[in-house]
Amino acid sequence: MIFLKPKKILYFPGCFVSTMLPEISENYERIFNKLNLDVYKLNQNICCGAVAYSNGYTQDFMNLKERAIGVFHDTGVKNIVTNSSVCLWTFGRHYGFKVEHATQLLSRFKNKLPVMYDEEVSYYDAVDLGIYDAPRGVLDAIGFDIVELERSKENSIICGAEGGMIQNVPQIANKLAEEVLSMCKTKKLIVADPLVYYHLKNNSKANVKVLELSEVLVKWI
Amino acid sequence: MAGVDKCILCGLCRQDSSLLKLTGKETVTARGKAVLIKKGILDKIFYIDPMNDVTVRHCPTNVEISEEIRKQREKMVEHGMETKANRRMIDNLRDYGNPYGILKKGEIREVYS
Amino acid sequence: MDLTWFEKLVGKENISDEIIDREIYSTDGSQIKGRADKVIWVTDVKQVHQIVLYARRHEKPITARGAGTNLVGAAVPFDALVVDFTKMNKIEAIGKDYVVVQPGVVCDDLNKALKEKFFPIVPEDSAVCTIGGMCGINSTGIYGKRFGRMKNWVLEVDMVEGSGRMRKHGSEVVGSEGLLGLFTKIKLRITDRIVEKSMDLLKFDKIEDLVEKVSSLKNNKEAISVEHISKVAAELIGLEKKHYLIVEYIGLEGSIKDHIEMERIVNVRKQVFSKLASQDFILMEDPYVPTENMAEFLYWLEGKSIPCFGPIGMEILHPCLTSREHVSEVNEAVSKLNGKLGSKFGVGLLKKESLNEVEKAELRKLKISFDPVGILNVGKVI
Repeated sequence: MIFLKPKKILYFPGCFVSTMLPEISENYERIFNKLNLDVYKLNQNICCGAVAYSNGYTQDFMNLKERAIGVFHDTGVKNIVTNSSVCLWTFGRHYGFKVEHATQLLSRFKNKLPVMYDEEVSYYDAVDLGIYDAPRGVLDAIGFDIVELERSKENSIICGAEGGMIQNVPQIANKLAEEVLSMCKTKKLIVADPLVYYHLKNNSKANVKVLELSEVLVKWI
Repeated sequence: MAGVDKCILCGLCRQDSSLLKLTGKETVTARGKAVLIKKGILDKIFYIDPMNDVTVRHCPTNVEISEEIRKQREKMVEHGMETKANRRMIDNLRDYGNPYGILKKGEIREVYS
Repeated sequence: MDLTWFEKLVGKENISDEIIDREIYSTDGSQIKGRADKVIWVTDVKQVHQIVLYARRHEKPITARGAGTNLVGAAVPFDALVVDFTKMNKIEAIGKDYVVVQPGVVCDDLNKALKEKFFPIVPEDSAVCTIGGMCGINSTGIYGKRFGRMKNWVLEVDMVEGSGRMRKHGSEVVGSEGLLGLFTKIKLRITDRIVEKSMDLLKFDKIEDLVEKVSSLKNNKEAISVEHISKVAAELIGLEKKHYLIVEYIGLEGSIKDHIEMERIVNVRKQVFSKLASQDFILMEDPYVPTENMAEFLYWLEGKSIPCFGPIGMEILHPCLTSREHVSEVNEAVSKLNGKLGSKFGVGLLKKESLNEVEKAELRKLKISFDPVGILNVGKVI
């Protein structure tokens, strides 16, 4: 999509992963290293500002954006990869940066990924991600047989993690998650967005195991 | 994509609305919110929204409802009508540079989107 | 009206006098603004019955509502209690050649559930419109040329009349637009799903040739849908500047048999109004014009640069306008050509002139019998 031979790619896990689920960013870093990709992380705490923007705190967003762009500029950032949907689209739409989702970067190297599995799984398309082929390419490469959910790809449905519902109307957010989980007819449901993963996992029952994409990849290491 | 002035109240946004399916109420649909926005009404209903344009996939006039709702949230912030959870989130952002603040190891916190 | 009484009946979360609900429910697809006193969401017939009895006792108007996509104001309340049937949406029974549904069932959801069978009244907004609403205005749909209207497919309805009486009726109450009672259960005829289909996509330079083809297809039972897109509309939506006919057949009479190609054409047809609306042609009219005068009507529309499309095989067209200003012009042209107004979207508030005095008198008579206090859908139709 954007660059064929990436050099020095900034991996930006986003606030949620950095603070709440650092093991996910560790997974992705290990996978990138195993693929010999020249990926690095920032030492500084930068927030893309998506939660500020979508909740109406526009000035806060502008301040965060200015700070982030300053840091990127000072540190010579050219290419960014993230696994957070909201960071992806915020950088792309509002910052004008060229950003890839982790699945897009990995998908370009899917030939290097070993077959590790031989089972049917389902994959939930996080509505805020909107990238369909890359994650499927990665899962297919490692041996998964994807059983498509009744609502998938551009016809996917919301899960309740979106738009601030997860903090403002948690009961509604949880019911929406249950609706998504009820579509899953396999034992495993894989998700490529960390907040969506967290939300679905919190709402899953014994019959469906919710996994973040890096969790299934890290078996390689 | 267009503003709510282009909403013709056709109701086609009802077909992909998970919130409608859950509640059975027109109030949570894109059309419902468009009616309120046209009338200049601010309400916490604007926080019950996924802020993407899923339900306007079938909108004949391409109303960008998520942007319209975001503007309403801006107004609600200006009028001090934000939610308590959002207040906590923005306080963290302002104090610590991220919405979660400083987390102690193993601490489970409120998450934000 | 006491909110507590309603809360006990339907639960606190299913009755509202909040300003946001009242505002949202004060209008419908017609964009006409009324006034909702309260909004109540019902889930069963007992609740509906109790509400009607209560409203009758207190002489409080009621307006029933399904998806609220109606274009003539049939769901617009005037100081009324709005009864929203969205949650009353169970498919109660599927038989060999019938189905029993609650009024809130969405048309497409019904067809999804029917598998080998098929309910053939499929309006343009079938993805959202409800069976109850379709009964209310005696809807027709894209296959109307072959399968007719709701009246032809309704076997029986359970109704709570405006008097509070609960009775079963036949299809004679279909099309009564919420004036006589509230439907609580509808038994519909169903038919076999169409297995073999084909299509023709025909382009014409001359209106006369198009109308001649439409005439020739009139008695062709296998031609279940004959849809038109006018040259003016075609140009606006990015098609070649011709007059179009899209004919759908049961069986293989049509020249297009490839499913993917047929789906592509169906999508073009489905998108016509969307594409016109996004260019400000937001008002869809629904006149019936007899075939012998159709050419003259099409010429008149073309002369006025009014785009139109629609089920010409049913002698119905949808001229699309930018504002209500031009509606009377269209109505006049239709009347002069022995046409009829309000032939598809109902009468409601906007097409009262489509009923003659005899029809209105008949409906008033029924109204007195079914709804003596006159609480149901006040201000509509008659």
